[in-house]
Amino acid sequence: MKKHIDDLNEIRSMMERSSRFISLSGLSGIFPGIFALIGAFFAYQRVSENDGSAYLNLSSNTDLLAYLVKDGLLVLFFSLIFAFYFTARQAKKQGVSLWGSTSKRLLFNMALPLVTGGLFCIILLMQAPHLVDAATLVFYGLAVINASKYTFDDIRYLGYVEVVLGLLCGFMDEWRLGILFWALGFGVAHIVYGIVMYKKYDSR
Amino acid sequence: MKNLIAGINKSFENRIRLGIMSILMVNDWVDFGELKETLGVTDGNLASHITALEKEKYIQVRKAFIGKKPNTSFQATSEGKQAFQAHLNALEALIKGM
Repeated sequence: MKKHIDDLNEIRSMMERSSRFISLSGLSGIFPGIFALIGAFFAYQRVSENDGSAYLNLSSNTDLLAYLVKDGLLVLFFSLIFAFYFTARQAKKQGVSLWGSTSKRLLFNMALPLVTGGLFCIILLMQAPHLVDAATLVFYGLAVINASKYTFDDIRYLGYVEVVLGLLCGFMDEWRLGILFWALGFGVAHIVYGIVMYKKYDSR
Repeated sequence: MKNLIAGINKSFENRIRLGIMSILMVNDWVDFGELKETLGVTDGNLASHITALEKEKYIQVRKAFIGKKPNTSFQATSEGKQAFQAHLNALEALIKGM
């Protein structure tokens, strides 16, 4: 009888392993979170050099805008490198190939809303740059929710948090709140998520 | 008890066949290399179980070329999916009946 229970467990695990990419490491959340907080700190420093009104009128303050875009791109760059490194390490530990059908499916489904959002943010940069912070959070959240079907289901909660923060952020036009929400969404939420995931899955 | 055991399909008794069918239940076309990696078995071992399932018409084979490399993929037939589902139901009934 034990054999039948083992069989069922085996079936469940095979279905799971072959349809979801389960090599995301919690550390891939923690490090980008830390970089986001550092980036938000520099953005805050730079914006508060003048009274903050420049932030609400970014289209005519191109110096500030360029600084913020560079700041954001640096955060993105380091986050991707660290996220990639820890995911690759986890995949190696589990003996799963990093570039298999599950990871391809995950990347594609994550990229769909993310690339759309990225392009939309470029439009916003030209038309209404003060909404970029809200838009990045909303689209990133939707991308994460979409991706949750192809990896650990738990990451959908991270997505919900990002979307809610993004919408709240869009309602506020106080610049300090914009940066605060950004730091909460990309910084704190990622660190909390990373720690939870690390405890739940990495130690296995 | 006798009725319950009747639902158990001999073709799926083996752990590797069970694995192959589980993977094909939730994925469309899966190629040989992927099956091998997910199940952690040798080429010969996997091939013999695939042949057995193919003979039962539970899976179908598609041979194609990716560039110059031959690539063989597998898909569960509707017959195979039904048979596997019946097997799962029987397993569950057996365990609940204990």
